[in-house]
Amino acid sequence: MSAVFINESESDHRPSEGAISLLVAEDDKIVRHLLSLIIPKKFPDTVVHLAENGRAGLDLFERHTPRIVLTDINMPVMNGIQMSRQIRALKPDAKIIVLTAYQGSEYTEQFDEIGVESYLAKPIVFEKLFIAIENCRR
Amino acid sequence: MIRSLRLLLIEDMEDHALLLVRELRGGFNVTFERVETLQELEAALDSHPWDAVIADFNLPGFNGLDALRIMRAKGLDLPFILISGVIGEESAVEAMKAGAHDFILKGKYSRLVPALERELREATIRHERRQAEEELVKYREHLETLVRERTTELEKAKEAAEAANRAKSEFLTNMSHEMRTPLTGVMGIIDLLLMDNPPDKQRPLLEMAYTSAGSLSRLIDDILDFSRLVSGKISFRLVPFNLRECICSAAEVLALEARRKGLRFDLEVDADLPEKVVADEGRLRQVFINLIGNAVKFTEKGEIHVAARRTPDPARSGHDLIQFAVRDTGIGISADSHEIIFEMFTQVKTAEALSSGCGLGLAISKRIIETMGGKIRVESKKGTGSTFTFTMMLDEASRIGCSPPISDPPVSGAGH
Repeated sequence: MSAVFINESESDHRPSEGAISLLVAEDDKIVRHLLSLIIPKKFPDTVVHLAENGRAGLDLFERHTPRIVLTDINMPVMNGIQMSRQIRALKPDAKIIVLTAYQGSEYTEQFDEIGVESYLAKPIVFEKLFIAIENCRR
Repeated sequence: MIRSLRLLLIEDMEDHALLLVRELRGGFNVTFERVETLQELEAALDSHPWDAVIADFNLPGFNGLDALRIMRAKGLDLPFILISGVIGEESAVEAMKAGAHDFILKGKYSRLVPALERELREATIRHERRQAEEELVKYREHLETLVRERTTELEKAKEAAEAANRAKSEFLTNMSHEMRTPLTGVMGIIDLLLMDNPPDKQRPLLEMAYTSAGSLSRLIDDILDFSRLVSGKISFRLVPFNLRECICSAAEVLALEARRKGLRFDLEVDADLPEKVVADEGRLRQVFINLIGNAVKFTEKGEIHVAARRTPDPARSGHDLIQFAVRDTGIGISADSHEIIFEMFTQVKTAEALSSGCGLGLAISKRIIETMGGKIRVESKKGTGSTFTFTMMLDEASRIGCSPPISDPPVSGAGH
């Protein structure tokens, strides 16, 4: 089951023609919801697709080919590493941002291999998140 | 008291045997058996326990030496006396070498009783000694078994302890991960509410909630960090770096905070410090930020003074240490808490230490400093401020190819 959120709660912000599509893969429902609210608030021209695991994220990626991918590491069914690896194979220039709750994690090695834009530590500091997204939009 | 004697006689002449027994009855209550052949001897040795053996040296089928050999083969150590009418010195020596205890000339039996008494005594002593030796061997074997068992137990205990330690580390890692995700929810939602222009009354409350959540987040980081430091899981990355820059960059942010509180902030880095040193820069910065951060946090008016200087190493003559001092004019710490503040939760007993809100910062700093071969101490008086001083053996990076130390004057009064 994957929820797709297309920026409809903010009725005055219909995504424009040049909308940037962004995929969020995060198994925590509240964090997922929060990201779906806060990202369009900062970037009104963004369409956010929400996935609760890597498998659902990959499905959404194949359907929408988002420019930016924001992913958690530990998720059921398929984790963020496996998903990112497959996304990278599908689209070599996909911009991947990793959300990590692990300090100095051993996962970074695997992500470095895949190639990611940035790592964000949990709890997420939104200013840093916005900067990371901003960098990917350029 | 006449003791009983079970005697085995190896003698082919019955009258000789009786003569001998009669003589012995003067000293013993004798029961005896007489044998003439090797077969009879073996059968007799097997059938009863004996106290002593007396043997004629020359028998038709065998001699006393054969008898000794058989007894030795059976592991018997009985008093053995040879009787002979014509024993030469050579035969006597040979017999003694083979294990005979005495020899007596045939017919000269007056010596027989005392000789046998002596031999019985000695046999008893030999027997007791052998028993003691056997016991000693047994005891040693028992000890060895015990040591082996204990070693195995210890190895098992060590493995169990290591497994427990791994489990603890894993638990802490997982726990901190599990806690960070909901914290993201909490902090994110507060952030979201703040972005939505909340009513003026609510804004400070939301900000407080955000600050608290932030403190919780740092505490989670500290717990994980501390547990890793204690378990030795963290390796220090020793790379050359610019010491002055490290101190200045750590102080910079906190100097701003001090200025916001209206405090004077001085930073004094001696010009003769080495420019480049080898240490874990990130960890050193962590210590600076912790100590200076505490100074700013607990000082409401006055000044904060941070200094780095070279000082002779008392333990290694000719070598220098680098000494760092963070002095404040804050609330201070009473003498009985000077040790406690460097320890973890469990040791925080005083209300003062509890309310200080230091968290684990000092415990972590102490651990880092000690791992890098340094020491930290505090001088403080309640109400007048504190000075935290720590030393470090920072290996000076090779000066070859390095530019001379920067000689700009100490940054002073950064808070003004």
